[in-house]
Amino acid sequence: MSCTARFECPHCRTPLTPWDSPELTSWAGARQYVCFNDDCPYYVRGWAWMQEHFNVRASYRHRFDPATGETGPLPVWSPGALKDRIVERAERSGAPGSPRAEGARRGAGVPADQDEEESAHA
Amino acid sequence: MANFETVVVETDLLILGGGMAACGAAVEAAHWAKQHNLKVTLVDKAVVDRSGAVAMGLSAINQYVGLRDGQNTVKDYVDYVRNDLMGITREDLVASIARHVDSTVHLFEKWGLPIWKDENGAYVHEGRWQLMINGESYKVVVAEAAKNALLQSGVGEIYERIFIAGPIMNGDKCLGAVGFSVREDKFYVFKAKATLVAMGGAVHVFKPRSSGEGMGRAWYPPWNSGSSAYFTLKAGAEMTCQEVRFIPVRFKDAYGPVGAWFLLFKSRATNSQGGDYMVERKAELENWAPYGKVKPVPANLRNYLGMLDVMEGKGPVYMRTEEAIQKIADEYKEDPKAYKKKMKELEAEAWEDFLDMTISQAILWAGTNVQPEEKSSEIAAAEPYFIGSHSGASGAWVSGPEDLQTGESKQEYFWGYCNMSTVPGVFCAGDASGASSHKFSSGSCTEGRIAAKAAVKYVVEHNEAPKVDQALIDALKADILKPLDTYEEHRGETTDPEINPHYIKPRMFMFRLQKIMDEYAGGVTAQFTTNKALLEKALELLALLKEDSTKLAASNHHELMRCWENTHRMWQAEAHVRTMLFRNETRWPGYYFRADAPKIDEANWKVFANCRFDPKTNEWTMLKRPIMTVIPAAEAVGA
Repeated sequence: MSCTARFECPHCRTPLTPWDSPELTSWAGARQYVCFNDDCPYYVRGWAWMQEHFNVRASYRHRFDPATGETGPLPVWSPGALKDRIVERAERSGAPGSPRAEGARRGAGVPADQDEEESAHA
Repeated sequence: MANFETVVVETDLLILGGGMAACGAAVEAAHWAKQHNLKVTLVDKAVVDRSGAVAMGLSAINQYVGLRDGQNTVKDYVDYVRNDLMGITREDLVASIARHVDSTVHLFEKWGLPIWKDENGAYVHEGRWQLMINGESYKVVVAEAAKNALLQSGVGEIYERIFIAGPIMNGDKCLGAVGFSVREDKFYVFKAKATLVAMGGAVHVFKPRSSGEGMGRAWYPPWNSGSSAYFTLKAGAEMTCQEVRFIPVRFKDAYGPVGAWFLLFKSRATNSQGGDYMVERKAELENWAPYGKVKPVPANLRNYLGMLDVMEGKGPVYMRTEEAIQKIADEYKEDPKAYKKKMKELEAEAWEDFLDMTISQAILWAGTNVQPEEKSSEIAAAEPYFIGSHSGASGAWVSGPEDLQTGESKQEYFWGYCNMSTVPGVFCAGDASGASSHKFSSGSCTEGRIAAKAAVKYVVEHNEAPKVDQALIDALKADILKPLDTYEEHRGETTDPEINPHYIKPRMFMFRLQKIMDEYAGGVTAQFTTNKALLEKALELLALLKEDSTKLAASNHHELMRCWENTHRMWQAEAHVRTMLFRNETRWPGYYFRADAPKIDEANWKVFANCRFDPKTNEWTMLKRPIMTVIPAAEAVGA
């Protein structure tokens, strides 16, 4: 799978959105990539799936961790859940966490100061 | 003497405790014991179904490594724990658990625990290591498996509502344990070839924030009263990380979970002036290098940044839930119908899905007119807890597994059987075993399994029945039941049975202990700060308290249990104070701060600070043990 394809939702082909994960979640990459497309069939089907199998009012969104290459379902409790941690467009291009920078750093632990301060580099 | 019948139970492996570690031990022990025709006995002071820290259920499993799907490696987990504990962790023990915890979680699922999965069967992760579960009955599910394993295999038996007061020691040898029924007039003697200690950590050693009307409310279960630490100390075992308490930052006074609130609302935590300490005080992390420079920032450092605001008089610290909610209101201000729908959604999420873990938080908010959409909710650092299975590290110093040792570490970290303490035949798991943080529920159950397997092997290789001297039992019985006698002898001498010049009731004794620890050993009112002089004063007062403990009085079985729980707490307290005094640095600001040694000292103190109480001489020995790297940089063990 190409570097670009990993940053695309495999279910709806929408580009993934960078999302600042809360500290407590301790994912390798401080910035995860999530499909916040409310029409994504994976997300849409998730509501009925979770209700039927787990009796909870929740769904999940596709998530990609650029630091490890790992993907998985990220739980959400409403259409708006977690959206206020989306990294705004102005912060994205050329910044750490961009597809270019994250692809280069994948697999390495990210020192905190580099994540915040360094500009993107290949 | 109080007229208690003595019940003698002889067994091969004695498992003490009824929580996750003990249940894991029971399941594993039953399997191996059956193969070797051995007997296993489990003893719990309550009822196994809801014993321990997972009693009320959980919404997530917090340790799942994901080895089979290649999500993470054992080394990844070891790296995470090492950094969160500011470099102080036993890599071999953490790796030992991390390589097996996934299989334990798969067992939970097999036993009936609903773990959230998507349509493709992928676990739904709340975080890198955390799985979402429907966990109200998590403990019941695991307890059922433990009970079935023991009782259906024909090798096991379970004693409930029996409080274990301490070990039976003959010199350096542990012959089992003694205790009493908390319901009937029965004194129990459990004679065993090996004993597995899994009686949890310690709560209410320090004065809690929830005092007065809130008394009893705690973040960790109030029935964890230091019984593991007492048992291993009295057995003469070496203890480790006794200084590493844990301070959770939670919603104030009722300890509601903030992690879920962050996830749901992305609420900022700000001081009374609106400042965000994680941003404004970020430079402070440089002073705690290298640990402060890696993400995730260690829990104690996150605490510390907030405490700096509080100590500077910028409190209270609030979770700005009303900001997050106001943003939503602004978004929908043109559409009241959509706004109403949105608020209903949030109400369901917040109240139903998160506060189910802490209903008392909701009650406290209701009682203080806190509506999160209108008013911020205060968060605060709680009182210290002893919880080696979570973000603390205290417990007994135990052997690691042989196969994970390097040539160098083997001399320091292995002595025959995995999870055996320095007392032959005494094994420890969960909160009872130290320097192996971040086990949580699944890791503790896993460690119970590991310890039990090794303990059965120990019994097979040391299969001699213990010879217990009757005079020793008589002396232990008299000592353990003494509070009942003390009460009966003197209660007529005052008009109030709670107050008497000849005795002290356990509640008052606990208040004395908590006052000492709070004021001198870095509790809440001391802003978690202490120094050498304060710690020495604490030891002086604890020595007086030890004298007071011989005058404890109990009017019934329940109070007798309370007498011993508080005696256990007192011993945990002493080990803690001695070790904070010994470690001449501050390594975990945010957990405690030595004002007279305010910096981290990697050159001299990147070591384990261990201690041992000698029951023969009544002397304490403090000693350093080396930190050794066991997981090589490039290797993924168990993947």
